[in-house]
Amino acid sequence: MNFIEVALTEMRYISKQGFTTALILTYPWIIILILAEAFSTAEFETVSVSVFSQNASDLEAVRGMVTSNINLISVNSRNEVLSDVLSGKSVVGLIIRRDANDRMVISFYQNPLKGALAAEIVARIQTAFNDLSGHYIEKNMVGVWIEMFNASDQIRTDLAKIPILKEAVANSSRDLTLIEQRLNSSDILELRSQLDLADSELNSTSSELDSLSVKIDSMQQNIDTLHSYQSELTLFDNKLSEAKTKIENARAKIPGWRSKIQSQISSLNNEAYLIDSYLSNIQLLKSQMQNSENTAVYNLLSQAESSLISAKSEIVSSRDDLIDADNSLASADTELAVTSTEIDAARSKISDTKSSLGQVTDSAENTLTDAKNSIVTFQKRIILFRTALNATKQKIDTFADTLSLMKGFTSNMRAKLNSFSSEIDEAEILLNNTASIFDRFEAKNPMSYAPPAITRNTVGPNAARSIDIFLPSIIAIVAMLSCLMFPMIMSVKQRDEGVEFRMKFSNTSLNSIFFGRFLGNYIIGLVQALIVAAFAVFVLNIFYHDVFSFFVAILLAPLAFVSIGMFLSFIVSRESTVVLLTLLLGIPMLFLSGTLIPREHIHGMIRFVSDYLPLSASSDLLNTVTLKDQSIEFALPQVAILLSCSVISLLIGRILIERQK
Amino acid sequence: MDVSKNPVILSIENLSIYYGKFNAVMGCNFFIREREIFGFLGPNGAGKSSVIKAISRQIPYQGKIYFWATEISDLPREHLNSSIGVVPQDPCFFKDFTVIENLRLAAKFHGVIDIEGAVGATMSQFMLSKFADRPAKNLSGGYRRLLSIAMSTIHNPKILIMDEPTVGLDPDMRADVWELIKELRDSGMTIMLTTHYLDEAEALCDRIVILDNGKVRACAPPSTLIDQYGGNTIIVVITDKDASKLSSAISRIPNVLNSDINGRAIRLECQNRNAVQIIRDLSLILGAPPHNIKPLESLVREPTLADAFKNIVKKEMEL
Repeated sequence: MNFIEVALTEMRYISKQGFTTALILTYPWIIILILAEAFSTAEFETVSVSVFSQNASDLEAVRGMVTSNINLISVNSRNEVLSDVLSGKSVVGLIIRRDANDRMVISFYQNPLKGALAAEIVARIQTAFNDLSGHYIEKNMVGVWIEMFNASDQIRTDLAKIPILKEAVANSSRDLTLIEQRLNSSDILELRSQLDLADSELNSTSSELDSLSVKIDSMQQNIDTLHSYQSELTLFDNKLSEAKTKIENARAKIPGWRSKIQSQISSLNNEAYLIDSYLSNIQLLKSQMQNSENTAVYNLLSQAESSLISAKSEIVSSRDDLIDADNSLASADTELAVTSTEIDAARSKISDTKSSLGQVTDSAENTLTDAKNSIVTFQKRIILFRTALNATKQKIDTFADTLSLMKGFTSNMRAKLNSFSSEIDEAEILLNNTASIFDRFEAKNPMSYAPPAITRNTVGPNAARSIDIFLPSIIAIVAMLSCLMFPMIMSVKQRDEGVEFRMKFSNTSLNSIFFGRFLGNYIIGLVQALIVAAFAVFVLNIFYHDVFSFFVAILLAPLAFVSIGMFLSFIVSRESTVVLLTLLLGIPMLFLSGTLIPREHIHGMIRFVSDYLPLSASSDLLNTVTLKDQSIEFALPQVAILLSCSVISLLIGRILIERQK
Repeated sequence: MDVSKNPVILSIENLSIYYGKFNAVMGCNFFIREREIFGFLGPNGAGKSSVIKAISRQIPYQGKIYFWATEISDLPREHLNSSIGVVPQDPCFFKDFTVIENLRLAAKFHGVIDIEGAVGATMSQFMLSKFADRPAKNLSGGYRRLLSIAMSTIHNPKILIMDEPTVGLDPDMRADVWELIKELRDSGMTIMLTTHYLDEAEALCDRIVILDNGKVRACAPPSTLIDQYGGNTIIVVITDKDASKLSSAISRIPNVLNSDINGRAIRLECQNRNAVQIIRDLSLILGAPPHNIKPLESLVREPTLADAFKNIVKKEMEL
C-alpha cells in the first residue's frame, strides 16, 4: 500500500469517527461565530464609572463630557469610589475636587484586572477634559486676542512688505541711474559725422572698384594673347609629330636597304672569290702552258687573266662602294633616331608648356572672373549700404530728438523716487513701533496655556472591528488545536483498535504508513483551515493582501501543527493524554504567541522563545497577509520557522515509528 | 497428521528478553516444525507475549530466532511480515469500517495482488460473507475474533501466531475456531498457539512448550507431557458391601501404586493407561466367592494436560 492509499485510508478513518470528528471540525465554527458576534464592533459595551464630586456643577461638567457608553454613577464618598473599583462594579473611579486656587482636580482610580479597558476609559475622559479646557479658553478669551492677533498679523504682513518696497525703489533707482548713464553716454552727433565719413569712404571705394574693373579687363586681353600662343604651340607640335612620323618611316626602310646592300656585298665577295679561283687556275694553266710552251694559249690565258683581274678590281670597287653606302645608312639611321628622340623631348616640352600655360590662363581667368563678380556684388552692396546709411542718418536725427525728451523725463523720475524712498522709511518706523506693541499682546496668547488637543489615531492594521484583529490569530489557533489533536487522537484510537499494529505488521513500508498518515491528517486540517478562512473572507469580510500569500499562509499553519501532532502521536497513549498534552502545549502558546497579550509584555528568555513558537509564526504570518496588508515576502522568517518546525517534527516522528516497529 | 518429520521452520536459540533491567525471558530454546500446531503455554507473566513480540520483531532481544535458516533480524521487514501472521489477543480491525472494507485493507496492507479474490475466499472460509457490509463494531464477539484472524491470514503467511484466539468465546464458536485452526494447518500454515485453555492445547497441538518465569520448563507432545508430569490415574469404585477385608488382595493388584479402602469405597492410584486392566482385576477379586462383592459404580480419572501443567509449574515453584 503506498502512502497515498494510506492517506486516503486515514481520511476515511477520520471521517468515520463520528462525534469526535464532528466536534473537532465544528468547534472552530462555534468559536468564530461566538467571537464574530461578540467582537463585531470596535466600541465596548456600556461600562460603569463611579464618581465622587464635592461640587455638583463639576459632576455635571464631567457628565457632559463622557460618551454615552460610559455610565457615570455618582457616589457619596471617596471610599465608595474605591470600593466600587476594587469590587469590579466600576471599571474606573473618579474623585473630583477643587484645590486652593479653585482649580478642578480629578483623581482616577483603575483596577488592573480591567486592564486595557480601564486605561482606555481613563484616556477617553482625559481627552475629553483636554478638549473641554481648550474649548473654554477659546470661547472666553481667545476672541479678543484673535482680533489683536489678526491686527498684529496685518501689521507684520505690512512690515514684511517694506523691505520689498525698499528693494523695489532701490532697483528702480539703479535702473534709472543706468538709463541716465546710457542717455548721457549717447553722442548722437559724433555718430552722425561718422556716418557721413562712412558715406564718403563708400564713394571712394566705389570709384576704386571701377578702376579695378578696368584693369581686370586689360588683364583679360593678355590672357587672350596667351591663348593664341597656346594655339601656335599646338600647330608646332603637330608639325613635329608629322616630322617624327616621316623619320620613323625612313628609319623603317633603312634596315631593308642595308640588307639588300649587304646581300650585294656578299654576292660581290663570292664573285671575287670565284675570280680568284679562276685566276689561280689560269696561273696553273699558264705555267703548264709555259712549260709546254704553248704560247698561244698562254697568251689567251694572260688576256683572260688580265680581264679577270680587271673585273675583280671593279667588283672590289663596287663592293667597297656598297660598304660605304651601308655605313652611311647606319649613321643616317643613328642620326634619325637621335632626331626622333629630340623631337619627342621638344614635344614633351611643348606639352608641358601648353599645360602650364593652360593652367595659368585658366587660373588667371577664373580669378579675374571671380574678382569681377566680387566687384559687381560689392558695388551692389555699397549701393544698399549707402541707402541704409541714409535711412540710419534720418533715424539718428529722430532719436536725437527723443533722447533729449527722455533726459527730461528721467530727471523728473529721480526726484519722485527720492521722495517715495523717504516716505517708505517713515512708514517702516511707524509699523515697527506698532508691531512691538502687538508683540507684547501676542506673548500672552491664552491658547498657549490650554491643554493639548489630543487626536487618537490608529497606525497599522485598518481594523474597524475587534474581530478583524482577532480572526487571523483565531485561524492560527484553530489550526493549532485541530491539527495537534487530529493525529494524536486518531493515532490513539488506531492503537486502541489494533489497526496501528496491523499496519505496522504488514508489507506496507514505514515511510508509507508515516507519511500517508501525515498526509491524511494534513488534508483534513487543511480543509478545515480553508473552510474557516473562506468563512472569514466571504462572511466576515476579512481583508487579505493577495490570494497567493493568503493561500500559502493557510497552507503553512496546518502543516507545522500536523507535523508536531504526528511526532507527538508516538508519545501519547491515551485520549486523556492527548487532551492534556494539547492543553499543555496550547495554553502557553496562546499566551506567549501574542494572540491574547502583545509579546512585548514577555520578558527574558521566554520572550526570545516566544518569537519562534509555531503559533507565533503562523499568527504573525496570517496577520502579515491580512491586517498588515503585505505579501508573503514580508513574512519569510515566519515561513522558515513553520517549515523548520514541520521538517524537524516529521524527522523525529519518522525516527520514532522506526523505533516502535 | 504426523508432522514429526517435517523440517524446522522456526528455531529459537538462547532467547533472552530484557525490559530495562528486568529479565522477562531467559535463554529459551525450542523449535517449531512446518505445518505443526505448536502450543505455547505458561502462566501469566511467563514471557509468552514477549517471545511472540520478539518473533514478530516488535521488541529487541538477545539470542537467535531463525526463520528457516535465516536470523529474522537479517530478513527484510516486508519479507518477515509477509511470512508471519499475528493474531493479537484483542481483535484488531477498523471498528467503523465494514467487514469487507477491513479485509480489503488488510489485503492492501500486505500487498495481496488479487485483493477481491483473497477477500472473497477469506470471507467464505471464515463464515463472514453474510456480514460483509456490516460495520465491524456491530459484529458479535465471536465474529470479531474471526474477522481478526481472517485479517491476519489473508496474505496466507507461513507461520500464524495466535495469542489466545478463543478467549471469551462460547463453546460453539470455540469449536468453530478450533476447526478453522485445523483447516489453516491443513492448508499448509504452521501455527503457534498461545492459550490458557489446556484442553484446547491438548486437543489441537502437536507439541507444546511450557514457559514459566521466562524459562522453558517443558517441550513435548501433550501425551508425553501428561505421561511425564500428569501424575497417576485415580480409580474410585463403590461396592454393594464393605470391601475392607480385601484390602490386602487389592493392594497387590499389578500396577496399583496406592490403595485406600474405606467401607464400600475403594480408591486406587495407578500409572496412566493401566486403569482398564486394574478395574478388570479388581472386579475379579471382589466377585470371587465367598465375598461376592459387586461393584455398583466406578469412576476413573486419568491425568490431563492441566495436571501436567500444574505439576510442571508447581515443581518449578518448589524448586
